[in-house]
Amino acid sequence: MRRLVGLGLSLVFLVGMLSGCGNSNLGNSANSTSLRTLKVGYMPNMGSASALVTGIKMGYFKQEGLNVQLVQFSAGPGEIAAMASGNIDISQIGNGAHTLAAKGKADIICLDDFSIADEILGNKDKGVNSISDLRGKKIATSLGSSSQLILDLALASKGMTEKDVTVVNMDPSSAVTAMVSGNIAACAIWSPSTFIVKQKMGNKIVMLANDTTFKDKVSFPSSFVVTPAYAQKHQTVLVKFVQGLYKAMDYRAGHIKQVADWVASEIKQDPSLLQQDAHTSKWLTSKYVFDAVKDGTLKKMYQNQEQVFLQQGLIPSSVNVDNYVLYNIMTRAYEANNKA
Amino acid sequence: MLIIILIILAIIAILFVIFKHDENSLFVVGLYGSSIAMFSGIIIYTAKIGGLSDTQKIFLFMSPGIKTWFQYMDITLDRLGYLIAVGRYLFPTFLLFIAMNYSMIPFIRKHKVSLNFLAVPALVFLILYYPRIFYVLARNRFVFQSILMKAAVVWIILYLAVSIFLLVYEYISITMIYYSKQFRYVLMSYISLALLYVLYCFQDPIQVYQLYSAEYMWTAGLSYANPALTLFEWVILSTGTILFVTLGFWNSIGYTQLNIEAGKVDVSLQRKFDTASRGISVFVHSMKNQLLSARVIHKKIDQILVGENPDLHVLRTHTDMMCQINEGMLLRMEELYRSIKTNYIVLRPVPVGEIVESAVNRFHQKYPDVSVLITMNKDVAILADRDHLSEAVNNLLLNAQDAIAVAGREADGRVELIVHEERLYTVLEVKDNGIGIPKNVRTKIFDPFYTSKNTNSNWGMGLYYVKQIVKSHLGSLRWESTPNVGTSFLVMLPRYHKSGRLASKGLRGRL
Repeated sequence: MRRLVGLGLSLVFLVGMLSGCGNSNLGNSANSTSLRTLKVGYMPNMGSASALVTGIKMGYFKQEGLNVQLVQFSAGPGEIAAMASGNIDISQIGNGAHTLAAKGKADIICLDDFSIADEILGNKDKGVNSISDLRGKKIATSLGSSSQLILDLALASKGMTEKDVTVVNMDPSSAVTAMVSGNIAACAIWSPSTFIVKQKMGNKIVMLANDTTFKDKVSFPSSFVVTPAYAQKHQTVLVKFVQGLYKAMDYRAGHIKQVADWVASEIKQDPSLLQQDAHTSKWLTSKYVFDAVKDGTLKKMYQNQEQVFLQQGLIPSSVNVDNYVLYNIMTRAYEANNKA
Repeated sequence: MLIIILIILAIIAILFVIFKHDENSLFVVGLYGSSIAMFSGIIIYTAKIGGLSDTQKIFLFMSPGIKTWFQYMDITLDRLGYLIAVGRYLFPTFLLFIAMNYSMIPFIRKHKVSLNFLAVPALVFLILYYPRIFYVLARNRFVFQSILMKAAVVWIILYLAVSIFLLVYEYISITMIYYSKQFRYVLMSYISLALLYVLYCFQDPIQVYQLYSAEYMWTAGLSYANPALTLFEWVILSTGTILFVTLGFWNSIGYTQLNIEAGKVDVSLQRKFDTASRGISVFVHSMKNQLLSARVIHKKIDQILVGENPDLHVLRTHTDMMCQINEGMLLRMEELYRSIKTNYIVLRPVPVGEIVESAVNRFHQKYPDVSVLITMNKDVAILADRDHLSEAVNNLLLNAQDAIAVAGREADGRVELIVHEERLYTVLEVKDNGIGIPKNVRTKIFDPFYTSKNTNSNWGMGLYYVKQIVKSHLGSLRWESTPNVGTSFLVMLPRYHKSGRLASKGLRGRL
């Protein structure tokens, strides 16, 4: 028994010691068919998953020698943390998580689309039928997310601020339960949680605002990002990945219904709900991204985004977007695809 | 599997509350409670944030249903973050207090009360991390957040390091097998739990309050949502933790039962002993020992007188011995009368060598031809009632010789009296290579009037008397025995300092 215990303790110590250096090298391993495996983080909604699912289904990544494996997250910050610990290689993030890029924790390798995931949903039974009804009500949102930004814009449109309501800091899944149980009157969250609220509450729900409501004032870009260290070490791999991504984006733009079905199957969601989303967004093409890089539109767009973060106090000072947007990967990938 | 660990910790904490009511148990319950708070918070957060493979999900949550239940749990990120913060900041504090409680380092024993201030940093952190206060003081103040996080990590490392050092130092310092064996499992359970804590302690709960903040990241290169270990490593660590925590608990429960049983024995002894006053019983016991000796001498004298030419020289020797016994009885009558009269023993600084000498002399009154092997490196002073303690040690020596006789090993019998210092104790160990104590009588040996020997030669008051005397010296009596190999009785007395203070307790003991 004593020997068994001794052995056990030794193992525990060994594991404890290994834990300091035991992170897996997921990004460096290749599978047996010589494809390089890339683990990519995404969120289970149309905006985040569509390009990746299309690339996999159509074999575009394999054409570039890549085996893309999807890892599902609920929010962008979790993805960036996972990249930092080496558990995944690349992330698709929404607008809110771009603060982390501005703070030097991630580099943008490609613009994906403009987010369509965020919505403010009100519970009619709680007296919420319009934005003005939110005054004095309890509203759930995740602090720092693009959903919170929409909430702030919505409140401002009716001359209110967060001080006129009670904001509860919740993740989208908790907000679903809180909405259904009637603990909150409204929520500013993103899909798929928005779908679930609508499914569970049906006619009681009113959509007060979403990403497109304030498109004149602010846009919500979604991007693919990597850690700065990864970007430095794996330029060629990233160009290959964006090449596959471009092909997927181009296919998506022309076959959105089919892509919505693929995504619904991947995230185990009702296809009809995704179809609604699919048609409310303008899906970007590789040419749009390339042109935006070349004529400076892309830079301007990320600069605008950064200014919003600054105004909201989400970043301490202004940062040059050139520090974290890797234009050369986007252009090299486009040129490689079009040369071929 | 993490859930299983938490369930086990919760069960153990409840059992501690039921079985033990001392200060250390309170700290242990606090330690387990803080682990449960921190890890349950992390499990819920992990379920919400995602990023886990299917295998990891099964490992962490056991079933997809549990994962979904945690994911959709109606809890704000503020509460979730604070739940983790409570566990994070209380764990090192409780671990340190447990370590200090076990520690016999004189400085820590001396300043035990004033060292309570070591709980202050945890309280400060818990105030600063309270969501409403945190948002006022730290929201969007990134430099302040960084300083706060670094300070917390430094503090955690410091407390953990000191705690582990104290526990390991204590373990190494114990030379007695009895304590060392007990402490080994306790040490293992704390270390395995600390290892589990270390995997997550460098992560700051700020990441839960501020999902979109970056300041928390790269403190340890990962977040709560990203396990630091591979699945295999996790399985090994979790299995180890469950094993050691259960072993530690088992050991503690064994110890607890011992305490409870000891308490019960005291109660039942009290009841049994109420029928005769303590003084009379002790008096009778001592007198009987003397009269038995006198009877042996008397028989020898009879044998001499039966012969035709009695050897007057031998006869003289025997009558002298009779005289000594008579004097001894008178002396004891006076002693016992005094003890009945005062009901107190008086503790004075006495060189332990004097106790040894006196005890051996008394032993030689009954067994003049049996030598006692004495080992004493240093003649230290102890606080003792010279006569009572000598008599108690004498009783142990007599028992030792009796045990050798029962084993039929008189020829190579070995009665040893070893004096050594053990942490805060001066220990007088009486060791023999006699018959040992059978398992079926181990709970009865301290009962008054219980004896395994022929009742014509013993009334079974010896060990009860020894226990009472040792107790009245603020000490404790331990024993280790292997049947047919031998027995050791350890009289553990608080070490006496030159400053005139006992190591840990008061000065005067009631008999």
